[in-house]
Amino acid sequence: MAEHAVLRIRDVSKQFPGVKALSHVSMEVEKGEVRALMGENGAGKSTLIKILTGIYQFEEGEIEFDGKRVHPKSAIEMQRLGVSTIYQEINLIPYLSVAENIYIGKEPIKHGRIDWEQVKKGAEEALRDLGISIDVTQKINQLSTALQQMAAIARALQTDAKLFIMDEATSSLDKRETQRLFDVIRNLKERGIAVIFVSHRMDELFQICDSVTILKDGELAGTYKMAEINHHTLVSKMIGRDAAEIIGQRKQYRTDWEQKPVMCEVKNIRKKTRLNGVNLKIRQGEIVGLAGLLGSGRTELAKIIFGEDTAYEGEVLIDGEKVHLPSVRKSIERGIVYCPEDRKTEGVFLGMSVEDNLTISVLRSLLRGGFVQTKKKKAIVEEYIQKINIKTPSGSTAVRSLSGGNQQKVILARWLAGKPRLIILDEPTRGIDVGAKAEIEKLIQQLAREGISVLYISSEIEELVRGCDRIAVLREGSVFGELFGEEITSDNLLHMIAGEDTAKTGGE
Amino acid sequence: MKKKWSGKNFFAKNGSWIALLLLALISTILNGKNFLSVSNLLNLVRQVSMLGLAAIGVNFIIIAGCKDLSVGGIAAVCSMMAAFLSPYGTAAAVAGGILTALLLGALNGFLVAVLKILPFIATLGTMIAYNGIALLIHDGKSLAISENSAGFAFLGRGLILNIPFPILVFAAAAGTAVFVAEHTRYGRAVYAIGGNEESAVMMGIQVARTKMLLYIFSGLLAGFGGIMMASRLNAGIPFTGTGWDMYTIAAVVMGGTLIRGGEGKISGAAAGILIWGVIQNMINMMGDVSTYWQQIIMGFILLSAVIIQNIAERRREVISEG
Repeated sequence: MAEHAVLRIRDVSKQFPGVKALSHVSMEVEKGEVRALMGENGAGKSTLIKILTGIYQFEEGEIEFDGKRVHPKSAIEMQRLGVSTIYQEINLIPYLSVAENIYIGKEPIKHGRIDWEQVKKGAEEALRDLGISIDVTQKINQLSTALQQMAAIARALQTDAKLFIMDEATSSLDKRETQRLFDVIRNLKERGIAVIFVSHRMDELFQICDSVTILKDGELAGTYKMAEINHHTLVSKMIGRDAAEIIGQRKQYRTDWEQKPVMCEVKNIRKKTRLNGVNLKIRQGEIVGLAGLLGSGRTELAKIIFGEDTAYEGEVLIDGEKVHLPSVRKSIERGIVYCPEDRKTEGVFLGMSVEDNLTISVLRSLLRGGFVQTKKKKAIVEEYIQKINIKTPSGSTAVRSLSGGNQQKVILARWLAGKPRLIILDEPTRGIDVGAKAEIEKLIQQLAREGISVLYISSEIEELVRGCDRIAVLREGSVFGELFGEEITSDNLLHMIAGEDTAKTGGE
Repeated sequence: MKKKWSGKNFFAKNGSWIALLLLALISTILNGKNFLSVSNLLNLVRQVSMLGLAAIGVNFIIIAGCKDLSVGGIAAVCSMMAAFLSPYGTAAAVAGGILTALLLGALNGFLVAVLKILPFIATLGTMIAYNGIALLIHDGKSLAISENSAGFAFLGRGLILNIPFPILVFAAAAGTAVFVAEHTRYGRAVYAIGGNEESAVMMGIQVARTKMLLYIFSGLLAGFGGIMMASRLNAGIPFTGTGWDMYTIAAVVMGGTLIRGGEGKISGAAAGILIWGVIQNMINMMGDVSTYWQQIIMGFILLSAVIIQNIAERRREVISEG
């Protein structure tokens, strides 16, 4: 065994009620090594990370950190030992200043009180190292997500850690910011500090990591040198071959919807500063992609069609009829449903069971004499758990304990249970692993074949290209252009999103 | 370094002090020198000092995103305990009262921090139980302070440089609290927990320990308030602290602390308490006005404070969205 390993994990297992989250996982990380940790949601990645950060306790096996056996019981214990973590969900305190967020819990003390001068100076320096210069006295919740993420990174870097864990630390960063972070990682590497790097973006892994450990279904699927493995093998190790094929596949263009009536049409929609004159038609059974950079008005348009936002000018027509006094309730009655971008705050009731989440919008149809018919409810729940393959121990499990992909499926199932005619999906695959992504994409195709119209909002070019019959590109609040059939390629779409005048590429 | 001075910001941050000044102005117009005299002002502050002491603890607890409904109960038990132990001398009475406060606060802390019971429920339970204990000690009746504890009277009625002792305690506690809240790791940890408890855990803040200490502090402050009440009235009274549970929250909210936690100022709560005092004082002076008006007026002032907070909050959201 190598003398210079900073972390050794041997045969570690972790059990949750009803699920074995990790089973006999072993890995070693050397000083100065950047190790990718890969796996689908539910593969045990987060569990392993939470064990390493001291939030979960493991039952079997042993962990050696920096030459000592450890069995951490709290986050602070691991931090003291020298593990510093940047989490996927940005963990900051919204009402405190940027500087305080970087220092809280470890503020420098001078003459018995916090040395605020030092806090401010230190925070400014830490951010400057990441290429950011902002007013550190402003509250953190006034920053963009990317800047918040950078602040979280600055906080983690502020410690003398021997191991950094970066769990999807780049998920909200743009290319330039990501490169900054990579420079920092290279610098850590030179100083002999190890990094465990988690990201869904494959290219990043090949760019920055030395090696990769792959988990599948709570078990170790292997550890490889990055140089020895390619893209395709990596994905198939992670998700198995079938799913890998679906992702690689380009969809067959259907034409059956072309003759179908227009289900929903928006005419000249305007909303101050956000939308200026959007026109769009969605036919029955058609999948219309809505592309555009963040802030191009995609979500705003979706909320108007759904009736959530009523302060606009222009017309929304459903089945050729103008919608007067729009409201969410009316939209749902007409069969229009909306799966929001931020599922945790707008989509699911985290504390409620799968069952209740799934049936909440159709409860009325389950009533008899004012009471919910439990049998009927259970039947519906079973049907959808099967139909769209929600991985849950049972219908009464709280949604909170499902993986992101399965939470998203619960939302989809909820709307499907109401037999919708138009589904608006806003970033349906954000933060979801490849396997669940493939399943959700497949489901969307199936829905369209059944005659349901889909408005598909996504920042992921490939996803739109794979799945849509037509793509409308929004720029600065209006439809800049549309792509049909054979025109739908990544290149065309990229050009259209970016426009000729800017060099920007990519979704965000 | 210094933020630019903006009028709007100034009013938003110091709303409770401005309200206090306005009320004082009204009282001066209505009552003239009777209100502005040194003796009246000292009297006014002294009357709310005990409640104010409890409010300081409650303020910290609310900033941490928790609740403490049991401060009145703790004050009552401590008032009775002090009287009960007064035959054994002043030291016994005071020490016994403080020790009781510590225990009752620690029990709250244990329920919330260790057993992780929702603070509202946990302290609702202890509030009811503590009030029961206060009644049990002398069968629901008041208990006079024994003549063996001659020095005990100083706590509620003593003067240092002509300033009543309870005011000094309140001022010292408020000053310390402001320092702790703004310049110590412990204080900032309280804000962090109230801002986002999950993040605080991940950031390595010792949430359970912080909360445990919060409830112990709150218990001590409320308990000492109760002991001073017993001294002031020369008797332990089982109904000491009646209404403190809600009045403290009202003062804290009027002071600008958000009930959901994470934001707030200790100095604001002090202003909230003084508003309470001024209204009480005004009504007392007007003689023919029923004292029940005090509650009605306070209720409406509280509501206006919350409505103003909401408007300010909404405006801030709009700004940060745009």
